[in-house]
Amino acid sequence: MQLNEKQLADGFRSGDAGSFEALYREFGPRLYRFCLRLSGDVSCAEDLTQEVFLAAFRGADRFEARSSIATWLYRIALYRWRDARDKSRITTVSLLDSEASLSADPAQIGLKKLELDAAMAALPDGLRSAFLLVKAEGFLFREAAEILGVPESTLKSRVALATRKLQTHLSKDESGVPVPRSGCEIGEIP
Amino acid sequence: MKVNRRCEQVQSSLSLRSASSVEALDPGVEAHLQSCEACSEFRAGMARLESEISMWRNASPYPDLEQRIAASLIPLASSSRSRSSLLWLRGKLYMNRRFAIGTAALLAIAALATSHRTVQANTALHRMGNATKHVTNLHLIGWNCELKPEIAEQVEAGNAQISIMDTMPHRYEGWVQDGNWRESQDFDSTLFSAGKVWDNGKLDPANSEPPFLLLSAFRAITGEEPFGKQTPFTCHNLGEDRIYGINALKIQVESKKPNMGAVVQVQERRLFWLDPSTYLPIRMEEWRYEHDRWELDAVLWFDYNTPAPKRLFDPEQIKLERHGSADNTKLAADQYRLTASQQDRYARIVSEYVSRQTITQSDKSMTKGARDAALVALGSELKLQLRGIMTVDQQRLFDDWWYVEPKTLEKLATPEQRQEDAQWLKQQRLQMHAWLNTLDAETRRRIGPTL
Repeated sequence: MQLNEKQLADGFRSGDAGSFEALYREFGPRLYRFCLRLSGDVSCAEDLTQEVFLAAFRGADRFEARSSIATWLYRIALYRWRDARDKSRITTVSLLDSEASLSADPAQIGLKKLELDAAMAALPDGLRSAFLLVKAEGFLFREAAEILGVPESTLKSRVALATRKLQTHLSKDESGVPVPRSGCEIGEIP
Repeated sequence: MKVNRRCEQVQSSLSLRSASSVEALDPGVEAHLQSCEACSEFRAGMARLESEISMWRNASPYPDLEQRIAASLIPLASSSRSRSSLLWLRGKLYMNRRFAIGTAALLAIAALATSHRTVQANTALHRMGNATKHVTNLHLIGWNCELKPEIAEQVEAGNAQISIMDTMPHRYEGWVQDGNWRESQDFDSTLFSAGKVWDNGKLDPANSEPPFLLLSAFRAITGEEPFGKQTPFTCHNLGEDRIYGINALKIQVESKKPNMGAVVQVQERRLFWLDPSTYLPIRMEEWRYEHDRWELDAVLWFDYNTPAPKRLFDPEQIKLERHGSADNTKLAADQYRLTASQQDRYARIVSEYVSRQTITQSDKSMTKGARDAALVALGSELKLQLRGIMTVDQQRLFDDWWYVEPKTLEKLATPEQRQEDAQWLKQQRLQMHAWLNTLDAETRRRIGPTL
């Protein structure tokens, strides 16, 4: 569906009944997946996605359609993730030990998938976010650079470096040893 | 393999393009790839990597996420937006429900859900635990949904080899009273009393624990080690949700990581709907994160302080249930809540069925195929007759208790019959969904995508 983005943002801001639904339908699952790969934790990804929509609602007045809604929302997601990470609320972890069963049949889950998750968790944050935006989310280099707030050349070098690191990791690490997880610390009961 | 500066350039170039791109490579890069094994491998690795990444798109957020976000937007709307904003958000939050809740109360709850979400949820969890520890009697009815998408897909694809046990949701029921525990699933019943366990009426000396499903549910609602020992968990308040005419408090408890000692090592999530006046749970859902999505595993409903008949905890009674094929009226009376007159009619129908079944089985004039088909038809007829004496509510219970041995099914059914059975199973599942829908429209919305 082709969205009229300004209308959508205006509708969201003014309380139009369909706007939140359209916005969530278009971007909710995508943002959730992006946050899931950033944080490596299902609960953190949900919290981050929620925070993105809250922040978007608060800042909808300032959205002027100079950039797309997608880049606007993804930029918010990145800021919220960095903020949470800097406050030590989130440590990126491998999805290896959270989303699939450790004891389940590896053939069913896909060893490669688990290795890739571990390799992603091992990437530095800047490389991971650049790689995710371009390779997983399908943004153009220009858009991804805008989201990250870096020059396009920097973005490209990060994507290339991340790709090489992932390939190296995957070719070396056949064991898929999980990275120790700490996850999201929000609301834990001891 | 030697990697030089040229290789680094080529690999960077390959990294920045899609492996599936149809755009021609730079001739210089193409020529290098022909002669360089390392870069050629890198290119193949790119294709594998992108293929793996494409699988990430299967990850789905929890179905309630949209509702949760809508709930958290309400306080913002109240402070900075027009009242119309509130209305659409509230509409979003209470889809399919009447706007019967006062705005002020709603805002207060939503505010709690966001600003004090954790504290409130933990308090509610502890209060639930304390409340359930003081009940004199517990009765639960639940479903092991087993609505796995892959099974549904197999049925849809016409796979005739699917076991009935793989697709049919199991209904189970449990009671805890005066230190006695009873769990019934299909036609199996387990009793626990004074450290002893009877499995279908037979003493099981090797076992000294209460029945597993019932014990798990009990531990879940008493808040003690909900996911097993030393498994950390998080707790969230999801605001208010209207259920059975009550504005229930809804909380979510989730394991932080798979419990190494657990039988099933996946991330688990439980949702509780609490009666705000007592903090006793009315309903519980169990979800698990598997195959990149949340799957509904079980739905439980709870009643408290309603005394159960003592015979439910009598092992001798269970023997009758298990082996009394000609006289399972007592079982039916319990399971389908039959009245006395219904019990008489039920007994007569079953008795007649057993007679006809015996005659058919011993009829040597029939071929084996004809006899098998006649037995299947008899069973169908029996079911129709028994349904005929029941009320609609009883029929729902009856349909879901119906049990067919998978081996029997395979033995009796022709390929065509199996195809029909697969369709029948699909209908059963749809019926169950419809039944759930009569109680809670939200549940159907959640499990809808698994169809």
